[in-house]
Amino acid sequence: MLPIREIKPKNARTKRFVDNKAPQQTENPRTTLFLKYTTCSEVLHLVLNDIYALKRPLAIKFSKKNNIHPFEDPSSLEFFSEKNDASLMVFASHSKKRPHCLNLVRFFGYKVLDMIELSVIPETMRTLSQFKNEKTATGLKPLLSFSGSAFDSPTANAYTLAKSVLLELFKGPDVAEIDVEGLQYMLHFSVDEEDDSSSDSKPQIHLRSYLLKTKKVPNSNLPRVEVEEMGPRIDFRVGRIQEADPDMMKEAMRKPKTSEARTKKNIDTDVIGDKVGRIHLGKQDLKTLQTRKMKGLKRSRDVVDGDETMEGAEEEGGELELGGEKRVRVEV
Amino acid sequence: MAATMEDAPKVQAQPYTFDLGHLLVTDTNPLPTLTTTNKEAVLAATAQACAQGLINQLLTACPIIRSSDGDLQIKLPDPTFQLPREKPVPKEKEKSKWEKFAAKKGIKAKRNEGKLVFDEAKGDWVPRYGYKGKKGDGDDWLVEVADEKPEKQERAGGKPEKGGRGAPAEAVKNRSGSRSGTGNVMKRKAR
Repeated sequence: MLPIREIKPKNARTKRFVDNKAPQQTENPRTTLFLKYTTCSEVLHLVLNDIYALKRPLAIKFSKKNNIHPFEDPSSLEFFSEKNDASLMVFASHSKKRPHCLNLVRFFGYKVLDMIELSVIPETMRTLSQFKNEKTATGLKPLLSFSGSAFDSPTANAYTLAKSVLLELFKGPDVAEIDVEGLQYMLHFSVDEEDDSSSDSKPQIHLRSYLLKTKKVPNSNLPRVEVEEMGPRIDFRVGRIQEADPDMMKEAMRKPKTSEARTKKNIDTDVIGDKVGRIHLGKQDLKTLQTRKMKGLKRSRDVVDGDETMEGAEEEGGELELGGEKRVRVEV
Repeated sequence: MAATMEDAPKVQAQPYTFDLGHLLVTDTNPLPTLTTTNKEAVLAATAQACAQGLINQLLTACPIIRSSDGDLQIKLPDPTFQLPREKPVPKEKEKSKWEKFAAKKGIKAKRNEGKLVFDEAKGDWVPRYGYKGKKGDGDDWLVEVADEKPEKQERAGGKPEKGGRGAPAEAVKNRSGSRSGTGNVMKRKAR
């Protein structure tokens, strides 16, 4: 694929566009790109539409079919990511070997960071429209819950990766405050327990979406929460994964320098109110101490032997007192 | 701690971990085995317990502020579960020559004060200059004529006399005219 031309902004609008696309300290929320393989099943088509509806407006949907194999050659996907400034991708494919597959891809710097392949189980799938009830408004931030021990296992496995990617995909934009009325729905991901007897089939991930209703409880400030399923309802079987290159992941996890000032250490305030600090000097080697040269004490001078030796010995001590008045000043 | 949906009471139910910055609750309790009949019911019950825990945590642990519109807002903490960035950390932009000089000299950029200024006497915002501006108003619009000579008369509002500084434009122009090669142009071209 040809590299994308670098746009040199010629007016304020294009400059704003380029600046928005460039790396930033606090990032923009991820845009998701939805695309399909040359063959795609009806089930997948519905699932794709439902997730797209959930992700709007931070989502782009391609209608053309693409002959791409993400696990073999992701260069095409990387090109799409750069062109559309989309760092998350949902690629739907259907083949005899891997039926009803949803590939979730995450990007870092427009290069593939990690990928996970989840296949939808068609029998248990239910769409949004199949649940005859009220839906929430688009664009709300959902509550997320992950149940099951596999999601939190200490070793990185397919399920911990799935948790990270699913969290990224569904969490919505990061907000500092949220309206109490905006807590309307919850996405619940659950994973079955590892069954040693049937080791051939890996545990499934269940996605359920519930509308939250709160009811007042007497004698308590906290309401009672009731859940009503609103769809979609999808069960996933975990397929292949591609874990992130450790260097790339390390780079991606780096945090930019925080703008808030770090507390200055070593500054105290006195009883009087003066600002004091400690100066830390290294340890002094007394043997290499340079004292003031007392010419009169040099051995070459004409002095009585006895006095000479005594004075010589004192000098080595590092401190010299002559009549109590003079003191050797140690210069450091 | 919710232990209602555990069907093996001897197993200690683990508490949920919350990441309120993401509105996330993680329940590490193993899911009970699902059969085709009880599957949805069990999942719904687990979800209900998670939702209850999360809402309780949100309402107790986070400060709730009433916004100006009358809505209740919950102030969320920073997320704890670290997710990878989408683009690398931006490189520090190198300071331009002027910026380096200004930093060294301690020159601060001029702040744009805006058109309006708060007038204490009026108790309202008035334009800094111009019509109904800060300098315009006053009771000194009426100035008595001190003596007959028009040059020495004061202006209203205590304003200084306009003009009269520097050389008038005509004089400057004539001076520069003498410097320009009106007479010497032909001589230059001949060379």
